[in-house]
Amino acid sequence: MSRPAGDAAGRLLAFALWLLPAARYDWGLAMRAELAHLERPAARLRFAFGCVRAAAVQPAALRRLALSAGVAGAVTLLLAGGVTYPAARLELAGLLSVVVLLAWRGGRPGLLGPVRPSRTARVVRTTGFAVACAYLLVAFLDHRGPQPLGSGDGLLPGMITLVLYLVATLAMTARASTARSVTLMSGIVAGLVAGSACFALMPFERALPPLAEHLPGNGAWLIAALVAAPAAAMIVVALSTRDALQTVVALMCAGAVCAGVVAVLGYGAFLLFPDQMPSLVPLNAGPPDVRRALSRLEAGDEYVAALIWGCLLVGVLSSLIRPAVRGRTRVLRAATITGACLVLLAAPTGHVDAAVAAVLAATTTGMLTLVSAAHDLRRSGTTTARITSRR
Amino acid sequence: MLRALAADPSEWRYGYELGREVDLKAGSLYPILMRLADRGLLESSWEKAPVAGRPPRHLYRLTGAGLEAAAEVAARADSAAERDRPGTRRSLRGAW
Repeated sequence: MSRPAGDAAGRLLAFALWLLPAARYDWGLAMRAELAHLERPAARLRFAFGCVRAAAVQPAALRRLALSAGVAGAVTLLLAGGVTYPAARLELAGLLSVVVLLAWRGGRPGLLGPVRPSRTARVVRTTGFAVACAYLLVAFLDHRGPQPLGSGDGLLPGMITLVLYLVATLAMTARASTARSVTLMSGIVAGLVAGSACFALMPFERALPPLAEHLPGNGAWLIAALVAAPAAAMIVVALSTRDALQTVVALMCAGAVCAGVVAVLGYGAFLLFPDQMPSLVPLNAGPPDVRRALSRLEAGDEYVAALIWGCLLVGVLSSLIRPAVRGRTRVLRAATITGACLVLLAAPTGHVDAAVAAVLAATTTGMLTLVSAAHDLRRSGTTTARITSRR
Repeated sequence: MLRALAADPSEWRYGYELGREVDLKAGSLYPILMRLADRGLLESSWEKAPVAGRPPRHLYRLTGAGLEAAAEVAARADSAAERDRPGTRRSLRGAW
């Protein structure tokens, strides 16, 4: 008579099965069947331990274990680490859940995964998650203990932007993405260069002159870098792919990364060097820690513009990285591009509210285009399979 | 492992029994079997007539490519043993 699977060995084997990736599921069943034929408890336990060891050395299982350990660590920090304001705790827990959900979805076939078998795609995806985790850690450290302004202000826009960027990163590095490795790499490098140049050229909160003023030639050469980096990316991509869409994708990618870099540097400066930053509020605004917090909030407001541009570009990018097979997807893509054009018209003419509304609309339709394109792909895959099976 | 599987190439073997024969615990046995299967050297099948009340077990045997690999490994091992035999140059050099 076989032993029940609910003993210690059975439970260990169930854990081994949980660790094994889906592609190795048959091996897990084979282990379970072997265990069912063992009678002596010691032999069963030894065998089950061995199976856990065999499952744990699979790369996918190691990733799963690392993810679980990271989540457990983050949740513990969040609950026990002194984030006192319920709203901030709720927002941070929400962001953590979304990042974990995206990490899980990114490993499964579909809209966001699995990752393309290319080193560039893996590096870009890993960097995306590293940035998200760093943001979570900074936000957590920043909201520990009593807050001078009394709540977790300023978290939500950053969180929404981060999630949008993460979704775009996963979609661009997924197997079904049409963005090639050269497109990704050229766009990202150009965005990093252009973002740093742009930040140096911007006046700092209307209180400090641009950093570029202290550089040789007043940093005029940075303007050349700002223009040349995306142009170089476009040329490199055009020459290597001979595809106009890839060239546009590289440009959008450069723009989104550039906006992200400007926002992170602008907001991060107040976090990293609070004592060197100028006070943007009058002296009678309160004690030093309150003035510092208010100054940071003001700085955040200023750099929200970069985040808004970033969201728009991520929306347009998302609408371009999957082939639009069906009419509905093509309409959504056209709406996204039209929305982006409206923003370009409204923002310089001072119609800020209209520009923000157009950004929201374009970002939403951009994401819907991505979902719709993935649906198209699934449907066309099913149709192809049906036709093939009929033959 | 290859030698054990190649001893009777037509026979299907159980994983646990194979592990006991080559003195490998499950933690080492299954990763080796998985790698052999991934490289197309091992084929597997489910037991056709399992013991009543117990699930069918996985059975393993070498493929054609697996048999060739086993023969190659055996030949390499034989030539290494020949080199290390007492009285050969290498073992004399080692004796110094």
